[in-house]
Amino acid sequence: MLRKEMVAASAEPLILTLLAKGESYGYAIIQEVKARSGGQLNWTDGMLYPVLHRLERRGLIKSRWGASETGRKRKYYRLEVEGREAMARHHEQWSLVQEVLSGLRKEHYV
Amino acid sequence: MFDLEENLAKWRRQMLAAGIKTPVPLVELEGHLREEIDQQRQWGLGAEAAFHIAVQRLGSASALKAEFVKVAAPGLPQRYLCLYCLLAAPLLVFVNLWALPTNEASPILRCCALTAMSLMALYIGGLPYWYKRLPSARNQLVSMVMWIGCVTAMAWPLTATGMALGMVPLTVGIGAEMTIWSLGAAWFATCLAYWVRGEIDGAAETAHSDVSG
Repeated sequence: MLRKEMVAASAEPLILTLLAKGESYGYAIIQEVKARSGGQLNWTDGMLYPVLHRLERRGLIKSRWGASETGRKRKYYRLEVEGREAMARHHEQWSLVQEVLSGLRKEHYV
Repeated sequence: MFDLEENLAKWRRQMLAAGIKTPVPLVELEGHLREEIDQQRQWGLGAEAAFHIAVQRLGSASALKAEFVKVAAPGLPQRYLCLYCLLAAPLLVFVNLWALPTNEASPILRCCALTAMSLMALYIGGLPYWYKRLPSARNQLVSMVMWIGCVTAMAWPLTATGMALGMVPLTVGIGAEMTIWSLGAAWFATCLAYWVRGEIDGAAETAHSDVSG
């Protein structure tokens, strides 16, 4: 299991990057994150929605109501231009952390 | 016998009692709950167990409400921005309509000044609606413009006072003077808007803790 702080810090870049692949909805986002992390990134399901709403309020994503395969009401989210820019900034920052960490690890083991 | 619909109705009542009153989050949360229940049942669980697991995974009503409140409530800086823009835009128009026709500037100059002022008032009045679309303050050009605005905003009141007292031998004309004051008002509104955006970004940082529950 990842530390709570790590899970929390990665939420926004993960949501934005998932939405960069295409429109999606809350339940699918959670399932994909769980599957891709092998269950290591364990979000409290309901808490995703305030984050999605906040991202929408900041103009990074946009929502629309649609219907599921069973005809049930479902809210879909898609990435906006500002969201794409925010995602790129996140990627830069995470890459930098990864780079520094890798460099330090190499030095440590050489 | 476990009645799923009855329990879902009970869950809805609990959410409403906790204060999740707006229809959007509740419908969205219920949709999520139903999808999770369907998934659990596909994996072979009975309706009752599936319901309880789904409710547990979704989180408590009070915790959800606390997070939604943070999203819904406009922050204090946003209120400042709205209040300032709401007051400054009409005031700008009023002051200029009152001051410009009474001075001796030529009709063309007055017309130009009034147009510039109206545009400025429009900019200020509309800022609370589109400030999210302002270019990033991290942009070098934007940050340079803001610094120039900052220096001008500090220097202009002193210069204007000096001119009024006859200590600064400079005459710019009422039209230009009013335009500079209006630019100052627009610059201040822009600074407030960037401050609000900073607040929103800051709120996003704190939001990180949300998903981890």
